[in-house]
Amino acid sequence: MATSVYALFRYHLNQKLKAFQLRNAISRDLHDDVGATLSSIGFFSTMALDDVADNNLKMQNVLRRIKDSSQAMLDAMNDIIWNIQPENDTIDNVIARMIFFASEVLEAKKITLHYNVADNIKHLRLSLAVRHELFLIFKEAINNLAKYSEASEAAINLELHHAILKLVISDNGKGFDPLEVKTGNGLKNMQYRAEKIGAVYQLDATPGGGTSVRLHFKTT
Amino acid sequence: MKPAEVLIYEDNKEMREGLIQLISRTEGLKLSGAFGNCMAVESQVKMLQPSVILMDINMPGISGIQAVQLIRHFDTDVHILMLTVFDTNEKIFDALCAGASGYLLKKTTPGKITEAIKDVHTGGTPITPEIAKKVLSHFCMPPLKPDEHYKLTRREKDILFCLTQGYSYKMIAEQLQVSIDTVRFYIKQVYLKLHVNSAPEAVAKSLREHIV
Repeated sequence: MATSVYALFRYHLNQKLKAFQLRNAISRDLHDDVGATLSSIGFFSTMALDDVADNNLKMQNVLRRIKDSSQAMLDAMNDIIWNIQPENDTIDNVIARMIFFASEVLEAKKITLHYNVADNIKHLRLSLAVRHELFLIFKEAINNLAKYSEASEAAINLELHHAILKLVISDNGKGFDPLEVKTGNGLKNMQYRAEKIGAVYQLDATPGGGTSVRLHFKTT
Repeated sequence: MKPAEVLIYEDNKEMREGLIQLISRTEGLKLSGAFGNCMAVESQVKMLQPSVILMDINMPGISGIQAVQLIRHFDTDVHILMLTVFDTNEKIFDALCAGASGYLLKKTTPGKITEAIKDVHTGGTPITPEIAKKVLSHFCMPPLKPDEHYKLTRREKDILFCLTQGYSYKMIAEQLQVSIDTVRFYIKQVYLKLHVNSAPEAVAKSLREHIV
């Protein structure tokens, strides 16, 4: 009697596993297809941009928007898929990916990257949601740095004090006057993401005095 | 300099068409052919003799990785760059073990893709920290085959470790006080050793000649 119950249990488990694997395969194929097609949209709009007349600013604008939005979507999908993989759930994976991303973006703009990660952070475990928002805030800050700072040096500092994770991204660039700059989408995004995970976000900037983005997150 | 002849294997029609146009209009590159599957990969590669192959990792029927294995049986020189939509680890690592020279994300901009194709012989595309970790742990495991004697040198281990931390080639060069070209060279050696350790004996024999 017991063996037949067990056999039934095993059968149901197998069915569930098959369904799960099928869903995974469908999801993977979908991502592949969507990703490849988005990528080709990026290709074609880039080639069209190369071909369009120099003085046709209207067309250039349209093409650039198509290119940028398909690229943004590709990046977003990539980040999500990376994040949901179970082997990426420790903080040192996230940190390595952050450095990998930052070094690529900043080196392209000839900005020297200095970074310091405290040793006691290595085994910190963060939830999927926190990892996701943390990485995206980081990305936004680095992208802004690369785009606007005109800095020659950038520093990333990550520390853990009394269970509070502190991330600081700073540069020696031209800074800005916070009162003058209307909060663009990017700045509002970082604020919003920080609030989502219950983190404290602070942006410090003075004209000519560089910029720094601070994030404090309680890990308990 | 002779333009690099590029052979494309990509099953997504739009992507394939995009690559065809990109290669065709890039100076220094020449389109050798483009196919939507790998069913006849052996005869195609033998006939067209490309210098660089762009190979989609996910393909119906014969997968990209199987195709790499097939190709490496008769050609250990042609450069094979895997195309993958996302940098998820398992398949990229398997592709490297099978003999791929590197990989390209499909989200990469067209400019960077052509750059990577042109630079493929200078040694591999930068690998993500996760893949570097897999490579490093592969070499730390006890060898599966009796004649597997390729271990990493101290230098190569150092470089791989830096890659697992997310360092760029420039950062590694600064850290280890060597030139970026030296870093690229060592990474190439690491890939070669990986192929040799993973490849069937016949292929391994000819690969060994490439190892310094």
